[in-house]
Amino acid sequence: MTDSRKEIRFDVEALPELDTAVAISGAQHRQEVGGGVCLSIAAGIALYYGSRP
Amino acid sequence: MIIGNELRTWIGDRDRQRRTIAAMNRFAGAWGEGPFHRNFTEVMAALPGQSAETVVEGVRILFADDAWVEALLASLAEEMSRDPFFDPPFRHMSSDIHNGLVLFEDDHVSIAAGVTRIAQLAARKSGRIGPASIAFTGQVTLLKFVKAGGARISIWDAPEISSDFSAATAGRCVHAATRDLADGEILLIDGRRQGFVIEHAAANLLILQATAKPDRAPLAVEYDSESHLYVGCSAADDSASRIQMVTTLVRKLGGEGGFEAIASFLDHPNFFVRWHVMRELLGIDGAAALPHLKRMAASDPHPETRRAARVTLEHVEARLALGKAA
Repeated sequence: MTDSRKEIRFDVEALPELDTAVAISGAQHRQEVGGGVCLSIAAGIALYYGSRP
Repeated sequence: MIIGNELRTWIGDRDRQRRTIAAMNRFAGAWGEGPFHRNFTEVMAALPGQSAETVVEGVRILFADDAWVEALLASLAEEMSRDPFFDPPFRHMSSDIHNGLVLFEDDHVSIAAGVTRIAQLAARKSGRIGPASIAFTGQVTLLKFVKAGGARISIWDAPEISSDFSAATAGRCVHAATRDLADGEILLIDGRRQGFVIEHAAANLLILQATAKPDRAPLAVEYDSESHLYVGCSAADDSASRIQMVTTLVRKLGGEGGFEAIASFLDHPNFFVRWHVMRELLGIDGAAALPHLKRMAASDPHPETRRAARVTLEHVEARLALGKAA
C-alpha cells in the first residue's frame, strides 16, 4: 500500500527557540573557578550539536 | 609515535597481555564481591525511601570509616608497580584538575574517589583568561575530604533549580560562607541551590564523592564569578541530551517510521526536551505534529514552552492551510 499523503516538513532551524538556551549535558559556558569541576562525571556524549553561547 | 622498550615488549608478548587482563579481571571480581561493595549494596537496598536525602544519609554512615579508601589505593598501587600496564578496572572521570574512579554505582547513587591536583588547580587559578563561573550541578552530593589539602572553600547559594527554571528568573548567586576544610570532613552540597569553589589549597585533595540520583534538578547552572549573574545552563542528565541528539538524527535521516517514537518524548519531564522534540516532529510531518503542538500551546506546564508553541502554532496553521511549509 502506498501512502499518497505528502508530509509537509517545516524547517526546524527556522522554528522559534526557547528563551532559556540549554546546552548539552556536560557543556560549560565558561571555565569554572574550581570546585564543581570535580563533581561532574564525563558523560561521554559525542558532540552532535554544540552548546549555544 | 615513540614507543618505549617496555611497551614494545608488552605489545609483542600476548601472554603478558593476557596476564595483565587477568589481573584486572581478578581485581574487579574481588572488588565487586568485597566488603565495601557488599555494604553499599545492602545499605542502598534497605533505604527507607528513594529521595536524595535518604541516599546521602545512608552514604554518610558508610563514609564514616574511610580506611578502605587507602587500602584500595594501596592495592591499586601495588598492582601497577607490579605491572605498569595494569589499568584500574573502574570507570574514569577526569577534568583538567581532577582525576577519579567510579567505585560503585547503582540506581540510587554513584560513588567516586579522586584526587584534585594542587599544581593544576594553582595553574587554573593563576592562568585564568577571561570570565569564569561558579557551578551549581543540580545534584545532591556528599563529599568526604579524606585529605583536605589545607583547602579553603567558599560556598554559594542560588535560587533553587526546579522544573520551571528559566533564564529570566535565574537571578544571581550569593556568597554564603567561607571555611577551611579539615582532613576527614564531610560536606553536603545540594547542587540544586548550592555550589562551592576551592579558593586555595596547599596540597592535593583526596575526595570521596557520592552523587544521589533521585530528585536531580533538570539543569546544571552557571553564574559569573565576579558579577554573580546568571551565565547559562546545561542539561544535568545526559539522557536528556541523548534524546535530543537521537531525535534530531532521526529527523535528519528522513524520519521514516520514527514519528510516533519521537512523539512519546513529548511528555518528558524536562521542558527543553519537550520543545526540542516538538520542533523535530514539525520537521518530519507538520500535519501530524499539529495536534501535539495545539496541546502543548494550551497546557504545557512550562511558560516558555507554552509561549514558543503558541507563536509556532500560528505560523504552522497558516502554512498548512496554504499546503506548504517554510
